[in-house]
Amino acid sequence: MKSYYLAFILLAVFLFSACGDDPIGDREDAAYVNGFFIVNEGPFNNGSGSISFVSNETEEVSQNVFSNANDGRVLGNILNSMSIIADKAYFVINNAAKIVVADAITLKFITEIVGIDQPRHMIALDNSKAYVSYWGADGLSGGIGVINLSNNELIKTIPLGKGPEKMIIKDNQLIVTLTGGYDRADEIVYVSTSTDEIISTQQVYDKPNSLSTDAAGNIWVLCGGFTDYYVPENSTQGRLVRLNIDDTIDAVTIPNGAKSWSINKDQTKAYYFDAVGVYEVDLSLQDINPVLVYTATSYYYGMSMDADNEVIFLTDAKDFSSPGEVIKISTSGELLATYAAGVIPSSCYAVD
Amino acid sequence: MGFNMNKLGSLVAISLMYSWTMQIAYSQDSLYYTHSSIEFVDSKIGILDKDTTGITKGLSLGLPAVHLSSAHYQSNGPDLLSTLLVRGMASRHTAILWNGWNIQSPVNGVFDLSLISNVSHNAHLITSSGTSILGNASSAGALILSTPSMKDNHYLSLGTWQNSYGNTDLNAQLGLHAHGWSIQSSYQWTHHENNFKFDRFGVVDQLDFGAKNAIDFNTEISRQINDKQNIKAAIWYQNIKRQISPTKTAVYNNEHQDDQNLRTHLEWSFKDRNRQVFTRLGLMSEEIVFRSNSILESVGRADTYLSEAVIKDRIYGVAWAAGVQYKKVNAVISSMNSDNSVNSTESSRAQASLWMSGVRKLSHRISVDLGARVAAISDGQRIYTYHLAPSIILGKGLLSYKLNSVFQLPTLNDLYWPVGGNPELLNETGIAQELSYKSTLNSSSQVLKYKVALFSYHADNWILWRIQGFEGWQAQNVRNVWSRGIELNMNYGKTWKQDKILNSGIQLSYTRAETTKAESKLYEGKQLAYVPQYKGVWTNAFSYKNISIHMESVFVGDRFVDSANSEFVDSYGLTHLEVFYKLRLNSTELDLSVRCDNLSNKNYEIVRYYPVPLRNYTFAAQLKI
Repeated sequence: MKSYYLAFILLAVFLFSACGDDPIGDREDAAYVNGFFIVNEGPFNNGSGSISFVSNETEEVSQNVFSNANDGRVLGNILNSMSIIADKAYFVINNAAKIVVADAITLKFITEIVGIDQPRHMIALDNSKAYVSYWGADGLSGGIGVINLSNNELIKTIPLGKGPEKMIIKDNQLIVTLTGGYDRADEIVYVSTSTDEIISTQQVYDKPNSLSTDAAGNIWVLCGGFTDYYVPENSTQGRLVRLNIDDTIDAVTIPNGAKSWSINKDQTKAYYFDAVGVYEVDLSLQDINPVLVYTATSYYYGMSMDADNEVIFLTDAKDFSSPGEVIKISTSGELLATYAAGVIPSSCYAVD
Repeated sequence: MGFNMNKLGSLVAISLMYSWTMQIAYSQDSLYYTHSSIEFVDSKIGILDKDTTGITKGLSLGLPAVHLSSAHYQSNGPDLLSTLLVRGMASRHTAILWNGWNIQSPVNGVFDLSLISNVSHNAHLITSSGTSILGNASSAGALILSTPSMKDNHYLSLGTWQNSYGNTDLNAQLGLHAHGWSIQSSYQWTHHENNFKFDRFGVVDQLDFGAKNAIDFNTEISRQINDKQNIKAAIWYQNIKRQISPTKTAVYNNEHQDDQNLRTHLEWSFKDRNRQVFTRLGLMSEEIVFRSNSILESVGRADTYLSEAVIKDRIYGVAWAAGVQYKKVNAVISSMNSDNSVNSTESSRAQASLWMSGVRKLSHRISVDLGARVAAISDGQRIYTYHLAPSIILGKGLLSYKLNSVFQLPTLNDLYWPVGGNPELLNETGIAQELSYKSTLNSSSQVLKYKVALFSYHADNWILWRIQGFEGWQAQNVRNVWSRGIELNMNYGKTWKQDKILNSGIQLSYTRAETTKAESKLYEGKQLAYVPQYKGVWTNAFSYKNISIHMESVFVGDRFVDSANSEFVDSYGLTHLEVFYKLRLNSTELDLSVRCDNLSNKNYEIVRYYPVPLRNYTFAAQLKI
């Protein structure tokens, strides 16, 4: 029996001494220029967002570029959007309640901006001040956070209401869509960029989710419509709204689910998408007439535009737990390329 | 109670007639069925007992399951959802038996092991499929809860448990016996702060991960009517309020979950030399409430009514067992909209089933176990299952083969959850097989036991919740899954005189749980998420007089976090150490224990980004009078 025991112990020691950590190899700093970033939200519930980068020169995709540049550091749960302001990249992380600041070229971590519950998007007034839309911890008490870009600190918050989302700046005014957060809303809000106080609100239609100006100075608001998953008959259709400079309003009804209003470089054409495909709108025409330019071949999650290169990116989140894909199409709907992405790619951000 | 013995007799008779017409009446002594446990032929492995795992009172009952290689303990962290994945199967495939009833939730198919401690329950795991006897939700066997054995004397036991991250438990147990009556009762009060250190991407952090407050009351009363008849009543009440803590990457998981469970059981049994009969009634009531911050999100309530009659007998030298069971579930699931309007779904399901099983010895070395079950579901389905298990004594060991047809009904959430429930779901069906050899080598003071098992489980229409874009999660029949592997279990024990004992065990397992057919090629040939391919456990226990020392080492291999196997969480190895001291003074006993979990201060993750404590300590004291 002694031999049994000896063999037993030797086997145990052998088996349990074989466990070790994998070494982490050295990595060189990379320069993320002349290409586009893919913003991957990351798995719901307990995942972390990630950044992929596609080089325009080589068309090669690099995954997890932020983590690779920062010794494995992760961004946090649900990376909602990114912005580049001057020489810094700002990653807005919704469920981690922070904005991660990194070098725009190398993605080396610089600092974090905290104190904002459920941040969504960021827009710069200039190189010293920026605004961040947020939903609030309950998804209903949202507002705008004012950021001092010189020290990357939160200056103040401006309560707005349910679900502040996309923003534009026009004529010293910050214009914010209220999508409703965890409820529903149908307004846009005008905030003075001088005083950082609310000037007025304007009712549009259910779930305004994105907006822009055009070459004539009109404001376009894409309203996706309210979706009631419990009682589908309560859902409403979307609207494409033009707030004319003469204070009149034009709107057309579109199917529920439209989002990602994006405008070209000279502000004469805009694009958005829904489950059917990508639509083009000629902003110079009096009649609002969306034209389908690309028929969806998958269930796309997000759309972004590289205005300089006149191309559109559509993100495919696939099963929302495995790595997704991004396709690049021309503004006329020609499929140009397909790229591997991270988990739940939601938008792209082009850089020179 | 309105209990109709004539009707009961008719039911049993019908059961027997049905079984005999199926010509499956074989028997063997090794098959038995009692009020609290069922054992399939020699299939019990991985006993969660005092010899190989810690016995500190107050620990979660799920914790010892960490030290089973055949099961993966899937936990989101202390006091968060913790389940067992047995042999690559989902938690819904393992029945949780209390007094013979499967108390796995009929609403969501889950039993959260973090909710119960080892104060009032022992447990052991059966890894072979039990569908042809236990019915639905037992494809991967059963975890059997049992009341710790009591001595035939009065006793009062008071205990406390404290760990280094602010968690406190108090418990009291009482045992009384007089004039044929026996009462055993336990009460536990829990207050957990869960304020522990963890590794957040290379930086040691400490956070309050959410409190848990709970009470647990468990009582059994039995009366020995005469030398053959016994009646028993049992009640188990739990009230648990806990915060669902955030992960390492998020701050907004501030959900609160309140659980309230009431389980009652009433039983009459008859037992003589050859025959055992018992009938029983049960009522299980459960409620789960979710709140996000202070906002009510959803409420699930279910009442389950159960009745069963079982007989086992011996005829012409063979023994057999048969049972008839009726079970009905009424459930209400409510989810709240942001405008405080409520979406409610009421659902109900009833099942009547007959089963019979027996083992016949064909020779002194060979025996065959056969069993079958038919279940009639209220939606009109008739489900037939069977098992066939021949075994042969080979050398000094036993070679066994088991073949089980299995099924899994969709849960009521799968079918009727307001958003994502899928009434069109099909039953999961499959075949489970096991081939094993086990043997024991003895000498006067030493014993070496070992068992090698090959297992295979094929499932069609695997039920899975998947995210469907903006529409959220949806239940689907999307998979054909084949889980197979090999397990090795060895245990060595040595005794020096009466007061020095060594017990050492090794368990190793390889599990390949593969999606063999899916709607997307992306998933085919891939390992199921969070099922480790490799697991190893090494346990050592040494006792000398009043002191005993336990050491447990666990290795869990890489686990993929998604169906496409694109990302994984790293493997980890942990060691836990526990020291016990028993002080006796006349009839009074004082048990003291100190436990160190994660001795090497290892940073690890069971579920990706869910924090788990670094090295931590537990102190426990139990006074028995």
